[in-house]
Amino acid sequence: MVINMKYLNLLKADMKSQKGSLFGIFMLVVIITVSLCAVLSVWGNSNAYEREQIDRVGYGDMAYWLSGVPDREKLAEQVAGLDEVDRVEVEDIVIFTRYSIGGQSIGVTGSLHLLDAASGRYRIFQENLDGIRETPDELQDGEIYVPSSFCSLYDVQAGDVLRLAAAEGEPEELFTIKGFFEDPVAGSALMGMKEVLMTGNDMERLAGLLDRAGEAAQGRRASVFHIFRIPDSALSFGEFQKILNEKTDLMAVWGFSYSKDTIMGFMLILQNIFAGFLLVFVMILLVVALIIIGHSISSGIEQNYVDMGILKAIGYTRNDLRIVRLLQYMIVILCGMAIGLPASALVVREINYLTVTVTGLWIPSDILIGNCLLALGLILLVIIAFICIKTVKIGKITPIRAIRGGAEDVYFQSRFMAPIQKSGLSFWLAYRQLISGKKQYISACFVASLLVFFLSLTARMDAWLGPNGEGLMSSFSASRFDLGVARTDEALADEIEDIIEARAGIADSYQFQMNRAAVAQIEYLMNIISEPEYFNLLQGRTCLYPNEIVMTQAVADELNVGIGDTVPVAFGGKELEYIISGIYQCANDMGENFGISREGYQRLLEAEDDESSYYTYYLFQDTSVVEELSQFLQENYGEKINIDENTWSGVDSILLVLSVLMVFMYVITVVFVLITVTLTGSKILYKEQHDLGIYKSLGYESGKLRFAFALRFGIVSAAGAVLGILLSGVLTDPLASAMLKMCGVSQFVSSLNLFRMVLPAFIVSAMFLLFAYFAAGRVKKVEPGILIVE
Amino acid sequence: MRKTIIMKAVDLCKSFANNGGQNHVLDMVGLEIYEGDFTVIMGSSGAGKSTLLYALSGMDRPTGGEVYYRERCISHLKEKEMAALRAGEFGFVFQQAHLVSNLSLFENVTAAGFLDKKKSGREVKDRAEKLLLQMNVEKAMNRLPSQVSGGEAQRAAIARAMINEPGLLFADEPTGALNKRNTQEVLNLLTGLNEKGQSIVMVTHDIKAAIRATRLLYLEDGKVIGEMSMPPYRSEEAKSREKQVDAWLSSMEW
Repeated sequence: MVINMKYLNLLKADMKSQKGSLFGIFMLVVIITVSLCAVLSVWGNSNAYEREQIDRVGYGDMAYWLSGVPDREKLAEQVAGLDEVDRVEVEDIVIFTRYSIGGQSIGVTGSLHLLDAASGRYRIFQENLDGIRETPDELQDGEIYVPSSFCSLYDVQAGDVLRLAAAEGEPEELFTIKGFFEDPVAGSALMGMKEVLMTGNDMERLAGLLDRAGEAAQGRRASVFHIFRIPDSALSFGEFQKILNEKTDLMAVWGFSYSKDTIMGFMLILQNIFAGFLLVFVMILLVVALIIIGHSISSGIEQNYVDMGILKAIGYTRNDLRIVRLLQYMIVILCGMAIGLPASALVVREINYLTVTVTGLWIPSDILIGNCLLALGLILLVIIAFICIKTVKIGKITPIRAIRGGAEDVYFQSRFMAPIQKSGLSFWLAYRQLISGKKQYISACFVASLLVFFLSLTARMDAWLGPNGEGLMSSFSASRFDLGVARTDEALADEIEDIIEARAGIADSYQFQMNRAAVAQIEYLMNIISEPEYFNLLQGRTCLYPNEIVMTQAVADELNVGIGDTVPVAFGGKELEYIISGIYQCANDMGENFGISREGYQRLLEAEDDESSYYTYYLFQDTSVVEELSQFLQENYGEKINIDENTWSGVDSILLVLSVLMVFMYVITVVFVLITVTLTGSKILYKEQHDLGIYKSLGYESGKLRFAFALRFGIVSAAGAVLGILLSGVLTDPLASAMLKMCGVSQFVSSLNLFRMVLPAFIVSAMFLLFAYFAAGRVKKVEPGILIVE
Repeated sequence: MRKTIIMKAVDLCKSFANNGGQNHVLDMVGLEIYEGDFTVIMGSSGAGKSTLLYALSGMDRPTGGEVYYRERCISHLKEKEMAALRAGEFGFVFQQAHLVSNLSLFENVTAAGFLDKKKSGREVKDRAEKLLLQMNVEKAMNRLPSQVSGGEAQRAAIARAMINEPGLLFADEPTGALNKRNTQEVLNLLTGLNEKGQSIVMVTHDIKAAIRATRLLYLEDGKVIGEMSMPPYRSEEAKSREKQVDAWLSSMEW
């Protein structure tokens, strides 16, 4: 009890004298805790929730979307008969490849799958997308539910109309959007494929219309085979798919397949990338906080040097004093964590609400207490270790040394010293002060460099993305192009080409289409190109010969193959061997794709190559007219053509989230700079009161001294900022590559945009300068009278 | 010959709060400082000598009354105006040297000189060199204050106070922290400056310093209660001046 009282007295006194600095640290801890817990919770909740929902809606371990199955019961029985298969559930759907909504014709980004709402598997959002309805209204004929991502993709609301035509020129069928449903399979705005719920009557009617439209139909009947592995199966999804493709006739039918993991990857791509991104940011904030805590400890020891010497003289031990320091920081940090943890719930709820139109999911806003406490515990351990190390110097204080003058600064000549000059006097005074007390400014320098590093990294990624996401799109596209046009009417070919030539000038053109085929029994997206030299090649060479293919690094890794290896490629019941000639970049299907030349593809065909299934991709001489030309063609040729503008609906969502993140990071950066400057600045000002009094006695104005003070932080942060830019130059590409690998971008090479790179450095330095100027307001209160000795 | 008043204090008061009450350190002080004089303010400990000096020099604001410098009231000047006055018209030597710790002696002097807008940087540097030479610290001029003796630092402080050719030089016990040899050197310097026409107001409780004065003021309980004039100092008269000052101080019940 005596021991406790001993600490308590000192603790109270210390906390009182350090209250400003401790409050700053408290704020930092609150920010870090809120950010960390919010990121961990959003990431953990969205992953767990997506898995739960995809299971709830009955999505198989593998799902095959198949059309034109001659005898689906027989196929289902064949699949179910495999030892590795537990059960097969077949769902009837209708697939449309073209539809329009809110005046926008959609035919490129993906297919629309019509599902029977009567299954009751899907959950319906409340009117304002702020929750799930407990008792949703049943659909009437002519009504549909669409995913919430339609709001961000097409700016629609309940009451808008979706139009479908069985074939070109046929009357449109109109469906009123009754509301929005949560689709864990294809609900994310980042997925091209979309699902809508309608009544069984409507579905059957539309299917009938498609049947009657025959060859010209813009859709087809299809079935989804949900195939489940036996319980406790040791097979991976890839191995499972391989067995299914090898031992059944699934591959002989038109269709495509996705494993549960792949769908989850698509659905969670945004959360996963940005959670990773924010976690790195939080780690940087933690390092910044450690630097500030370190500075606070050092200057606190300097400030109380004499007192500590006296305490030692009356019997306090080195460890007593260190424990008191540790306790005072622990109290503040634990308080910050205790407030930050519940506060993060508000942030999580807000994030989930704001992103519901992008993720398509109503992710729970619970805080993952276990994960958060574990992460906070680890952080606490790191901080405790750091404080223990930083307080070692308390042991060096001896009563005699402290009482004889303590830790007063003694300046030494430095090789960096330059004589002060009349012109730019404020700068020279600031520089001199900086060089003399450089240790005090190291923390500000490191803080600036870390913040600039991260902002610069973000800016580089932003520059890579481009204002309209061109950078990302070029990563998603297998090949380079400006505009793609597919014609339903071959007679229009020359006419359209003439228009393009006249308006943009055609530099080159080639044929391109996407299909699906199995490589080594695993199904992938297949990019077919007439001019393989346009593939975005990373290694090796392109597939010049008909027996060659290129593949992404992701596929090569999955199949454990490399350049020069031979793999079987199966398509439409035919299987041939192909040599891997190179590794290329295409993030479509999260990098699960391969490329083949048109000649190579034709080897796999039993029938004639269908010319109409190809897009003609154009490279323009004048790329500034892409949008205008696309609009012109759309207006004049409407449904007779399909246009690929090398854009993707998901890009807007990514750009939006990134811009929100940028704002968030800048706000946090400003707060951190404010706290850093306030803490370090106040300590420095306290130490320099005497010198300030001297300057004032000589006739220096407060304004000049304030400016000189602020300039020190300006100089030191500018130096830190340069370091930050250099760091971002070295580390951005590997870090961003690691993060973007999650969405299939295997190689990230940032573009060097001087303005975007320097802007964060300028902002951070300006913030340091500005806040230091404000912090130096107390210079005004220092009177020369401080020098009076009565 | 009638002397010109360079500074005048009218009803100058300075009070400090003390345990809920008021401690009147200066109580309606009225005095005049003449141009060219070496005025020394003496008084017993706690009489308010330094407080009076700081109030006169504008280093501290009086609680009441006015201070006039060359007939201009300086008691209510704004910070900027006061700073300009300190930079251009007043020089101040403290009991401690009070040099900026991270500037060399030379830079401490030029830092003050650079505030004079009429002089170029080169002119300031030349004058600083000359002054430091005059103060006999030219060998230490590039050293930091922590690397020189107290006497050298104080002499540099005098050079700093003189850099802008002040109208009035204030000195608050400038020899208080110095040893005997350094004390004499500093006093000789101040006397030399006064001989060249520099007006000086110095606070001291040291008779050996006080004998350098041409005018002595005695402060007691916050009021000027005595005054004595003397001819300019000559070293051979030191002993007799000491006796004279001692006798005067005795009459003030010092």
